[in-house]
Amino acid sequence: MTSTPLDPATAAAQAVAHDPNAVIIAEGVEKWYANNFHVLKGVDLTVRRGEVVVIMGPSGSGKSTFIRTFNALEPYQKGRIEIDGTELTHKMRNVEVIRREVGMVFQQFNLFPHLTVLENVMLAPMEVRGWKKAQAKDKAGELLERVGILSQAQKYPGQLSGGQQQRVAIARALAMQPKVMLFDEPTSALDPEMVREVLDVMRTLAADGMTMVCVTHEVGFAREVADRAVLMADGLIVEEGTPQQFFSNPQRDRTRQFLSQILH
Amino acid sequence: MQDFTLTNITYSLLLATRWTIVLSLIAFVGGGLVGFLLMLMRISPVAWVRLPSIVYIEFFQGTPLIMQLFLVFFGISVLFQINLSAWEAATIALTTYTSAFLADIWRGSIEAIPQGQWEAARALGLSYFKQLKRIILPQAVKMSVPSTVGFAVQVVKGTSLASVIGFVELTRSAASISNVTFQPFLVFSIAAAIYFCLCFPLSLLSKRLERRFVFE
Amino acid sequence: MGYTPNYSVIFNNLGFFIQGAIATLQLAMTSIFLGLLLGILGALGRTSGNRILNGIAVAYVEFFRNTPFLIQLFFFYFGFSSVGLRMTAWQAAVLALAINFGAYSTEIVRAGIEGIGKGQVEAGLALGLKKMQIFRRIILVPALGNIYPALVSQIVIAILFTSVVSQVSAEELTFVGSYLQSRTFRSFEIYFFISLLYLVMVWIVKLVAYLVQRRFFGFMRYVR
Repeated sequence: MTSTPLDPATAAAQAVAHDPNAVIIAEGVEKWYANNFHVLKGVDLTVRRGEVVVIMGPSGSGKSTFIRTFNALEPYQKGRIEIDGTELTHKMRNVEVIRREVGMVFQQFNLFPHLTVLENVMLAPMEVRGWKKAQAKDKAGELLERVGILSQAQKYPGQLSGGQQQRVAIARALAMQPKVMLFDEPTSALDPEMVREVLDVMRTLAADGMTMVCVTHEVGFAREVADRAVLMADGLIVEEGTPQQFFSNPQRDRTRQFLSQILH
Repeated sequence: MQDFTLTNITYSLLLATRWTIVLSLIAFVGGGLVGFLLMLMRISPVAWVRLPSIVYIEFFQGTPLIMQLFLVFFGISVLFQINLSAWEAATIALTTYTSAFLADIWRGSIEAIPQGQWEAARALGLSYFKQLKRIILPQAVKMSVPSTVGFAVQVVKGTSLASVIGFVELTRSAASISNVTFQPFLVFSIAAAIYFCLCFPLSLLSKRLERRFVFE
Repeated sequence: MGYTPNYSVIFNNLGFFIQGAIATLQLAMTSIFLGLLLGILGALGRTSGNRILNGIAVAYVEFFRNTPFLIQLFFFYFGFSSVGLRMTAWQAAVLALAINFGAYSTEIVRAGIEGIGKGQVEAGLALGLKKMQIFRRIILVPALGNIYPALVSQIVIAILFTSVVSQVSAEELTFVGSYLQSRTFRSFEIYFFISLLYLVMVWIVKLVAYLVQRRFFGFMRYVR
């Protein structure tokens, strides 16, 4: 059920062997769904501090499933994942510790409908980090200002547009001061005119040095912001490279085929 | 005195069940007809047409069925100086009760049809009743079938209250048999089983129709 | 129509009516509270994933929703006393009403639990909240908001249903009516007035429900 057990010595040796700047290390991650569908077939990825990695790929390629293993929203059966030096063991304590350090933004926003925008951002720091209300409120205000939504702080999520909701969701994840942010198709559920306001926030975040892993189809964003672009297909990483190389001179047929589909 | 065996009791109860079924059918069909008219009034754009139906529905949904039976059986006979039999009173009370609920269920289905359907029909130049008949009702009827069937269960169960004004149907018959046999446990168990056999298929049908509607 | 209604029977017995109405509300509140507990248990059974618990809950719900309440009441009052489990009319009334309400609320609560989006739970997990925190801070209020309208309708029905327990001589509002009717024969006046009292009780409950809705579930207006 859990990742392959390693004896402590081997684990320590491996951790040292890796780049000390790595925030996420995934090695040979494999996952089967309950119906035996092999969705991840041994995926490796290392993300360094301050790096922005964009993962692309056709639907069903396992890219969302893959980044959801980083904060244990998806269990996996083989391989190992290390977040900021801590190995993910699927033990309850361990999972909670890791989730505090990993922020996630969902395709469907998943804001809490019964809490105001401000309360949405304040909830986790107070419940998980044990912050005082005033402290959480200050931080939430600061973050809402940063994503340009402070004026809507007292509204309920349902009163906001999709783009505004997604910016709140980013602020909510940032409130936990995570070491890395995961974006799971953050603009796919948005009307076209709202995509930009969300991407702008993500750009600023990247410029401020946040470590980010984004599953997205936004080529413009990937070209401009990403340090690395990755193509996943059929549960494997097919190609990995700088955006320049990835978009202008792809090495694999699968990548060329995919790019021709999304670039028309 | 008659000897009461298990077969005997069951047989007597089944005979009484006929009246439960007859009363249910009359209440449902009669209530359906009255309820349809009420529903038309209820969705009317004209306020004074709407108002009486609102009062009617509010009264019959906001008071106990037992009280409605008493009002018809005792009240009307005093007020209009006519003697209603238990059978007549039960028929009237259950019909009015059923009509109020069906009118409300059907109004709900009609209001669930998107406003755009009315607008499209109007844009084609159809008259109000043509809009209703050709565009709105066909969609609303389909949508309301599961809850209508579901309400039939409430009607069948509701007929048991006709026993309180002396109409002899399944419940009344069970109560009297239980009185003479001193076997309330057995008698009411059989009566409950008979009701269950009448109601459960309707409940299942309603649920199945609902599911089919969802997946369409 | 040679009959002149005479409402003095109402004014002369106003105290009686009020007592009856209070008894009805007490009966309703007690049995709704107990029934809701049963409903929560039933819903936990329905959603437990355990086949036996689910089966028990389904049988409970289907049996009590597909038989008349009057039969259930007779069963508890006459049936149980015939096998030595004697209870007062009031106890039988509370028991029957609670069990009946429990059957309906099982399905209502179940729908509320199943209506909660997986995304809400995942967002809570991703923020590092514990299971209990997710239940208390994220799931509970929206779930209550989901089931609230159906629950209020069922509460109104339960209040009207209490009238049936007059048939085992439990002393509530309808029983008061039958008692006065048998002594004064002013049936129309009495039953009409009692109907109005029920209507007023229902309206009060609906009004309170509306205020509670506005205070606690105002956000529901913006959901979807």
